[in-house]
Amino acid sequence: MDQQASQAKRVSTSGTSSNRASTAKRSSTNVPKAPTSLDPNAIIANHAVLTGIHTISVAAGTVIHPHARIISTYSAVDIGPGCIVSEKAVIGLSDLSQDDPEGDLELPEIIKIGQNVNIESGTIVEAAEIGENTLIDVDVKLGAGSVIGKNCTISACSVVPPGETVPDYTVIYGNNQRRLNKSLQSTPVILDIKSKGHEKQLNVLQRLVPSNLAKWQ
Amino acid sequence: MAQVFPYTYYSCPCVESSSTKPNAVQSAPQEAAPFLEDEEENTFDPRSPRANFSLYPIEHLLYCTDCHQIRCPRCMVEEVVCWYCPNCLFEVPSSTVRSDGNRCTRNCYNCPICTSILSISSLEKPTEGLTPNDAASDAAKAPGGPYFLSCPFCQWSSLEIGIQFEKHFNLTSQLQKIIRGDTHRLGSVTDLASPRGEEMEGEIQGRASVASVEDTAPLPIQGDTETLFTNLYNFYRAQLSELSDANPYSLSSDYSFASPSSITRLMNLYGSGGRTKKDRPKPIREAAEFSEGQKVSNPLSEKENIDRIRSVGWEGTASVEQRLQQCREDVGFVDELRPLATLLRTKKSKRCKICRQILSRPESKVSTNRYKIKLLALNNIPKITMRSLNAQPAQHPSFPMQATAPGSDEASTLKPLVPTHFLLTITNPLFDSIKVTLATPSTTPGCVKSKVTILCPQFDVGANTDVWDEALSSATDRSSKRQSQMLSAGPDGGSLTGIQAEAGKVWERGRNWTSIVVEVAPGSLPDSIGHVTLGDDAQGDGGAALDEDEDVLEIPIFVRLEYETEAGGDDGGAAHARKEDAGKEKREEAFWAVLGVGRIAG
Repeated sequence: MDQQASQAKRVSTSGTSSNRASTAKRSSTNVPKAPTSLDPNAIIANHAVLTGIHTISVAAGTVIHPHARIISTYSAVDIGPGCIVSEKAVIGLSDLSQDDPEGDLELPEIIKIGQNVNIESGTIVEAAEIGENTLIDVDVKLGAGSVIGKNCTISACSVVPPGETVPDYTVIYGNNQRRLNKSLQSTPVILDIKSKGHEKQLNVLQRLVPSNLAKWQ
Repeated sequence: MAQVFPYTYYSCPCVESSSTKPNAVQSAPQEAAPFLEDEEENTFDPRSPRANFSLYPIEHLLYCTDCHQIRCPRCMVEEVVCWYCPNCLFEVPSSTVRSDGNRCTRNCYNCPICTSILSISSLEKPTEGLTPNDAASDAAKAPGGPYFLSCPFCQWSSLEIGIQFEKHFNLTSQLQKIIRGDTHRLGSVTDLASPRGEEMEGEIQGRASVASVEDTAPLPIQGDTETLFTNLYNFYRAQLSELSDANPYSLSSDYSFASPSSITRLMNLYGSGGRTKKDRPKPIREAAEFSEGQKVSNPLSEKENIDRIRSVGWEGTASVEQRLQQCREDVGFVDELRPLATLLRTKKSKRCKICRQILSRPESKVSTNRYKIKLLALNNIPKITMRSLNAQPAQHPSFPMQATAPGSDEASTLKPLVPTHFLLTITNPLFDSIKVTLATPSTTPGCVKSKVTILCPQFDVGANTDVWDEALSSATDRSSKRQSQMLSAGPDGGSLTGIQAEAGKVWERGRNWTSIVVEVAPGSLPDSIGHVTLGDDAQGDGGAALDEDEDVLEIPIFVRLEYETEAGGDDGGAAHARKEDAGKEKREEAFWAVLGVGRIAG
């Protein structure tokens, strides 16, 4: 309760718009609309879904596609600047019983997504943390409480088990094979090229995805 | 084996002939006639080990229109139509393949880690800031600077092994130069193409002197394999050429009959034998020194390798697959892996082994997947399908091929000794109506004897005419009447079929298909089937032991077709297709098929 009060305070002090979290709940969805702290430069599509009871904060420049779901029922979600959350991606602990039948898993209090993280469509993110510049490809599942380092690449359909820590510059590919991205580690120019590409992608998306921030504030 | 019942396998006639005789070209048409008589005596046993190699689903078979026989993958010869790179889709002439090897010599490379296609990227530092017309300006100028190969999947890049390119084209020569420069190579693989001459000898001598210097080094330098290969290649070539001078029997690259070596060989074979055994050629010896391509294993390098494994660990060690893909043998670590030029692929045409007729031939253009010639068995042989009569789904009469739901266990499990009716549908792909005669041994071969009765062994199947003809005519009346009869007879399928399945009558008929009823009384399994265990060896004398899949009911069925067709331009089948009129000729064909009905319940 105490936590929720603090969240309510955060929401009210964010000062972007009036707080109408409880009144705007649609009758068709019985899940509560999450308290949010959104940067005015963030882009959140009209058909994105932000539900839960904890705070969802989205930083500047981040693009959230239609039909992406961010769920803060069990933990807060903090999305850093310049991230892309594609359609059908789910961020947040959705159902606790699935991953953790015994309940002995340490669940994150906050899901923290760093700067310039690209989360592709269909991905389920239950990780505690994703480091900056990491690419999470299509249909990846990041288990509850896992920690993904910076500059990682998780290729399509990979699964990171709950609670696992993936070090910086790791590439998960193929049949859950892992390797260190030495070229990225040793050649900073590649990182520059990659972030430039990400920047361009963001630039395009910001023009293409119509934003409806007011709906979620 | 997880089979989906019911299935139909077609037996290729190649099961009869143990080997294809070289003179079979003439005898092929005549073979068909005795084939029929033979078959009536000894029936086809689908369980014989030999049958295994000639039974195929109809989709896998081709049909030779000259021999009028089914052709399975065993009785075809394949020819390469063209070589192409699967990545850049460029056709490579076969002469280039012969000289340069079966790898793409353009810019196609595969990742040595995960085998996906590498892409060429620029290492140029991106310009700062993002202007509105940035994209336009970027498109105008191609990125410059050094280039590298990078894997879009596992993020490997050629930078990890320290390879950068100056230009984004002609990578193969650049890479070769880099590798050669890296390891102070003197020769390269391309030297192989150059004719062997005096200067080559000199070069080898020069190399040998370098080699002696290298030998003193504790570890053989990386990339040694190419020199070794060149040396070994030249050494063996020199030996072979010496040998072929001395001995006309030797292997030589020149196989043509007109070549001098062949002529001397023939003269020796058929000559008066005037030349006695003269000096025996000296035997081919192994390479003995570095200049001849010998490689001495270095115990020091082994120790180095072990130390290296200790330091780099599992991640730094190349896997077996990765090592096998590299064309060099002394690769053990991830940082020694080099990008692999993409392997070329081929398009192949298929010929009948007996009459050399082309059975399938793809278009030689790489980017099309169409065929110029494709003689499918599916278009020339009636399709036989079977399904249980009891589990008859409510289906449209126009879709007789619709089988019962595959994998439904009740349909494919047979009760022993209970007669069951099956519907055998024969669909005619030909444009002439055919007369079909079916035959089957009264009991199935194998240790479980099942009784099989074809209620109507002789019937006609209509021609494969235009679909619209049938749709517009009232041909479906009959079958719909049958359907309504069945519906009125009641839901109990068993009693219904007892009433309706009459001997000698066709069950149902459509435009180009006819269904008949086959009665099957599955044999009883030996009692001990449930009790046969691994340790129980004593059952052998009682004959009660069942082999694997012995409880599967497979019916061998002999199908004979007779039809009249337009006398075509091909007279290959003239022997068994005697001419009736000027325009018509009578043809008959016959083959064995195997119907897998289901598994007999224990």
